[in-house]
Amino acid sequence: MKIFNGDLVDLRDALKTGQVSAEEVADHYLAQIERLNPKLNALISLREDAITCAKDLDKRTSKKGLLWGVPLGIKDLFCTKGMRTTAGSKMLRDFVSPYTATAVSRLEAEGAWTLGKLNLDEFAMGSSNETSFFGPVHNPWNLDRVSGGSSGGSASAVSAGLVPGALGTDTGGSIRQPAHFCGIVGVKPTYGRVSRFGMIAYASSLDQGGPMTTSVRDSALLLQVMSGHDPQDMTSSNSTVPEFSKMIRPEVKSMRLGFDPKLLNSPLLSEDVKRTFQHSIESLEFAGAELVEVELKLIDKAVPVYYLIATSEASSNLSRFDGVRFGHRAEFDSFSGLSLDEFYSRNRTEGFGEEVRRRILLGTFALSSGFYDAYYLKAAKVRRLIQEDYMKCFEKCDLILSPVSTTTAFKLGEKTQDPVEKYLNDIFTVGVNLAGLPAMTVPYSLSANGLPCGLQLIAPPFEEQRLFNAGACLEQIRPHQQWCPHV
Amino acid sequence: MSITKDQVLKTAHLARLNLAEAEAQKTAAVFNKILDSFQNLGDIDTENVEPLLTPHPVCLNLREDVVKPDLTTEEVLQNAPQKTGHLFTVPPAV
Repeated sequence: MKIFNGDLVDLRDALKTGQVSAEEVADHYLAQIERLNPKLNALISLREDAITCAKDLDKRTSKKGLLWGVPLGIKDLFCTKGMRTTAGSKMLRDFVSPYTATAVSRLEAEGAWTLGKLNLDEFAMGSSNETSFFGPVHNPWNLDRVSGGSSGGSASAVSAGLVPGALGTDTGGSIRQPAHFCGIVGVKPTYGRVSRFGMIAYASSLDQGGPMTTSVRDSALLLQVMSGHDPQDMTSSNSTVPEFSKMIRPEVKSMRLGFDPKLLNSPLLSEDVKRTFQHSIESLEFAGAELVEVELKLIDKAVPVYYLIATSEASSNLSRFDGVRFGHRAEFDSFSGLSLDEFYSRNRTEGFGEEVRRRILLGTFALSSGFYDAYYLKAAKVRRLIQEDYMKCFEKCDLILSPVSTTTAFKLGEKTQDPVEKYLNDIFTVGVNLAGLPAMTVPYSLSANGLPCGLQLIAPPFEEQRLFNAGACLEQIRPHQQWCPHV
Repeated sequence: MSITKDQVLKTAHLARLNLAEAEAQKTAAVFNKILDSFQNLGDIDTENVEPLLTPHPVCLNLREDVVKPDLTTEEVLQNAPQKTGHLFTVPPAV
């Protein structure tokens, strides 16, 4: 059916006008999932009563809500009442949350419904979706390649048309990088824009949930619905939420777009990424933007600062997983003579995968007595300087442009041996989380080997509208919505 | 600085994770590689710089100290690995 070639907004309009029924929509996506998910492994859980849910929607006389009838994929880091939430981990493989995350509830209040829970790197720790207990996710553009991570399942599912839109989370690039690898739009909002209540915490001062979609206007709509202060999350902002979707102006004529020229010749970048970055800057200038040179002086410091702070926060957040009230508990013949320390240690060692254990250890070390000042505290001070570095750039420009990652999607298994090499790929994304800024990936080109390559746009705090305006303009220059991976 | 296997084992105990000696040795090597790449942070002057713990100011919205309905006992216990009546069953703590 033709409407399934459009975006989420097209689908919503077709549902509201009765051009298609909720049941037909459910049938379509269930068929897609049945056909393609065995190759992609993008889903962890599929809603068992999907057809019943859709039929119930069709019985309703009122079709209220900005997202009426739209099925969504939800990264399996968001709690969903009555449906399993695993965090991609053995630790939570059978966990069923008694409540739903605020971000998801807000989407449901506007008529959307959860079709499935999507695969991810375990506890959102990873950038290739290869650490999940449920197996790696494959890139729809080339099944031998990674989808990116940690929101790899979300990116793969949206790119392949298993769902019309999805939620992801971003702590160091986990929405933006898989969006770049899979050729879709992904938005990390300003820190505090979206409530983190019910979103399993990795690093509490860095985490943000956000939309992953096939078009900029879809992301604008989902973000508008998800955002807003939540009394259950004290870090959520009181800042007014604009009607992003109604205010999109797809032009860059009045915009000053900043870029760091040293990135154009950086040896870190693959040729594909370099070409995309160069070409996209030229296209935007041709479209009327004023291009301004800026300098991100501390960009090479962002990776070590991020990994010290994120792992430190993670070591604290993941201390709740002890096998007492929920989560994995090892087999014990009896409790006789068993200390609590041994009890916790067995449960946690069995429940967590290697990368999670590594990051907990690194964070625990960075916070421990004798090392706290040299590592965690030092990193937190440099973090302030990194934020100031970005804000100084914004004195000269309205948005900053950069590549999303150093390469396009790499091969499965290619980078699992050397964690340090892998961490360095996050150089363009982690600084944005440290500074709490909003940023977006917009697909721009397909590389010589047929892999998507995107551009990252970064805005000042709470200026997501600028991202949507420039992103929509880029979509007119390069209509990526016509791309379709042949899985 | 160079991290030793014993420091890794001590850290593992703090984190309540079991680590075999051989794995601790391997982890120490990985940590040293990771922390070596972080050494250049020491070059940055952070005298008189306040640490940034959260990117934007947090709004402390307090609520009235009034009891409200919350999760039921059944909901709280629904994921318990082991329970006895309304209690979570664990090894003796004292």
